[in-house]
Amino acid sequence: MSADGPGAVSADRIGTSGSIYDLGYQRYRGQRLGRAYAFRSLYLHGLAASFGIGRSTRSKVIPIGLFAIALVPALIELGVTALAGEALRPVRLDNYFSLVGTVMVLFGAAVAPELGSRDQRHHVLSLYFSRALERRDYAVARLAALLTAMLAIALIPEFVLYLGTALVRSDPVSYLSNNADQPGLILGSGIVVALQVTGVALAIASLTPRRAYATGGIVAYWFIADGLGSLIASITPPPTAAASQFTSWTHDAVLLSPSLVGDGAVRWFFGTAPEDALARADLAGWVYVLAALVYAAIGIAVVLRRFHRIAA
Amino acid sequence: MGRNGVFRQLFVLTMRQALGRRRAVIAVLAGAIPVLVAVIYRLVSGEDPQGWSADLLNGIVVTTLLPLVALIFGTSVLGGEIEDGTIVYLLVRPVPRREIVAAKILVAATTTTVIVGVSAAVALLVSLPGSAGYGLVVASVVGIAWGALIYATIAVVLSLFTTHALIVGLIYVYLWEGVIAGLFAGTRLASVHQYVLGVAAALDPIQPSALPAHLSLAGSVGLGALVAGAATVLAVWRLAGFEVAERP
Repeated sequence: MSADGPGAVSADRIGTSGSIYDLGYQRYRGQRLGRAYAFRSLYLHGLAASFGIGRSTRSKVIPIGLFAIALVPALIELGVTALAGEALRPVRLDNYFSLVGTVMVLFGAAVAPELGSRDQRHHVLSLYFSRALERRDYAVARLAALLTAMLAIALIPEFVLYLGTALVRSDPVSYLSNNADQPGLILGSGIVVALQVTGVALAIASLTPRRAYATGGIVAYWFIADGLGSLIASITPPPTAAASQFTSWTHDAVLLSPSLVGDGAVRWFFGTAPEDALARADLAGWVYVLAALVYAAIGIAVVLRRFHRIAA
Repeated sequence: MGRNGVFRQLFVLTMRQALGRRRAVIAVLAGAIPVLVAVIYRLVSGEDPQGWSADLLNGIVVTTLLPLVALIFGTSVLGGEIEDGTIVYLLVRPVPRREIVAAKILVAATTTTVIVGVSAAVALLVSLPGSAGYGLVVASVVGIAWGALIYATIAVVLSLFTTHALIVGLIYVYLWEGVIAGLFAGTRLASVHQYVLGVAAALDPIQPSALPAHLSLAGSVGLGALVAGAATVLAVWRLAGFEVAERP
């Protein structure tokens, strides 16, 4: 700092009797833990903040409540199977996302603003970026934290359902060995849908410093796009005289609906037949997986770009 | 300035806050989406206009657009002032708290009705050929206005109890009305979505209406009035005992 800086007082104004006091300022002499450590700390902190850990009880209610709600269908299914046998299987691994997709989106709408908007609102990004952490590290750590939280919601209920179904049986070991492919399918489908929700949610949250706008934006995008996709897909042109048309480009509008894309992707993993709008669209299953990953990639790109450019 | 003057000032000021920002632009863009879908429908198909228009109304306008716009405006008219700390300047004035609550609810309900009502009306005029749609347009705008008032009241009271009012309201809309009410038929009694459909279906000149309503007109009006009334009383009570704290 120069002698004329705002904190300095020039010597002739105090007079000759002035003296400089030793206030005991010291340099940090400890070990510098570096970029990787900073990244890990930010990731773990973001993951904890996703569930309100380390925050007030009021902040825990919504994320932990939503996580509990995501478990409910699995627990109901297990209860029914244990008491009444396996005649009905309303809740299955391949339709679990269509049941709890809404919960995942609401979780994203509740949590992504904490991770993506809060630091902008409180003007603390400059503090992060002035440390060993780089801008891209910050964005990746935030994405990874939300993805991990989202994976917990996507995967834990399904593994509870899978392992619980085995334990209901009299011979759990043979059930597990007969269905040994299921854990891989749960994992694969869970990662795809969690990536999709995470990318979309954090991208929207990163674009605004206000939590309410971020929450509203995430929910608005998801459910309006759902309505748009389903409605356009429900339009069938009248069959022409030349050839009875059963398919139409409008049916492919299911790709606009993020929920139907996720549902289609999960069904491709488990190899079950699509229903309703997805059946009418008649697209190959992998198209949905690709679409989900494209949505995720766009979202991730937006987040990276936003934190690369933001003034801090 | 007389009593009415204060109320009008409050109304106009809140309206300006609500519409002055980007929020209004985004809300109008969202309102354009049903119209876009209706245009595509008319260009491509145009078959079964009554049934498809009911799907349009129920599939995107009443289930998503109406609660979303009402909750965003409803949680911000008072919640925004609490967050920014400007509520202090309102509360130290000799204005009855019930007038503050009434003005805030009225602004949120009016803005929502205009945005969503116009969106629904234009979309229906596009999707229904000729004059066949006029009756449904009127019926749905009345239903939307009724729903906007109830949702806005709920949103205002939520914003007085929690800083997470928007997400709490959205969880109610999408989990309770969206998922639970589809599984447990009895919970439809406590669903604003059904109050809207009940009013719109009862006023629809084409009977039976294609709208999937489960409540009668009397039930929709009575239960809706009960919810809105209780929420208003709760909001006035909460604001009367509101702690004005110095913000750091």
